[in-house]
Amino acid sequence: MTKLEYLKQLEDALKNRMSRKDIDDIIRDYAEYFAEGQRQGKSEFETARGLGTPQEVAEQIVSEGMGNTQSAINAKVKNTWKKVRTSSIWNKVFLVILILALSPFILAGGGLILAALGIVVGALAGVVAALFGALLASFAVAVCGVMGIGLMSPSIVALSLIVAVGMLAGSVLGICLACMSIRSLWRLLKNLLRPRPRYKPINPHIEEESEEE
Amino acid sequence: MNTQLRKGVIEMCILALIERKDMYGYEIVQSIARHTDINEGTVYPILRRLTVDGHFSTYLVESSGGPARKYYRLTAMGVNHLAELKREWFEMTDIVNKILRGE
Repeated sequence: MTKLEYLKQLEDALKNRMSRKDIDDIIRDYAEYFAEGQRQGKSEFETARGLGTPQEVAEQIVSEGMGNTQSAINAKVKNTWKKVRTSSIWNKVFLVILILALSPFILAGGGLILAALGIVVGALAGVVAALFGALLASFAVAVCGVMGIGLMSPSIVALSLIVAVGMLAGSVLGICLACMSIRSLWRLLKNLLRPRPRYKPINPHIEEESEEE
Repeated sequence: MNTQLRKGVIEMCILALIERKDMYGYEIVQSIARHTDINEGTVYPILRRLTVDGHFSTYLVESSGGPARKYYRLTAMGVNHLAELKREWFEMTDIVNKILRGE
């Protein structure tokens, strides 16, 4: 076909698919291409044949503008991410409903945990109080013995000292046990509450044109 | 050859040709068509897309006996992009050649 026919058909094939300015630019480019061909002794028909049909060329231009540019790929990846984020929102909704449904059980279990915690804390407090009491008692007894006030006989002083040491040892043991149980309870809670990382495969799917060979 | 790979290779070749000297559309098509059996119609769309993406800048030069010629020249971004493509190409062909030669 002639240059003018070609350019007209190319313009028709591009109309409404891109801005007027872009279309004008493209037509200008191809008009230059025909003119250059003519300058080199090529006929308009030869040039037109070398280019392929105007419709094919238009498809090429449009698909270059959409399918393969980095911005188009970025857009595709962004869309993939959007899907991932939306589905995770639905996951959260489902989780909320699940929690509501199971709330009685959760409250009961939570209550048990709180009770256990309370017991541990109470035991710890009691132990600390006993420890202080024992220390104070043994200190008072020791002072009396040293000062020789003679309030009590040496054997009673020795006995109270032994009792004080025993209470001290027992308190220390109790504190250790309490600390260990608190620590394992804490680790258990941390494991339950730690957010697990979600891995979603991202597949920016790039369309492959079928081979023309 | 895989279409996607081919497109990438042609893009790299276009960038490389223009890096050596500024060229206008027809000149570019002829240079490539001389060495490959690429369809002429596919070159202009690639030129256009590379320009839109910022790898080329263009300028018009009046010429007697015809319309002005639009010359393409590499931008700084285009130079970097080409360097990257070349590096990837040499790395890939190095590995592929080794495999094909059974090393």
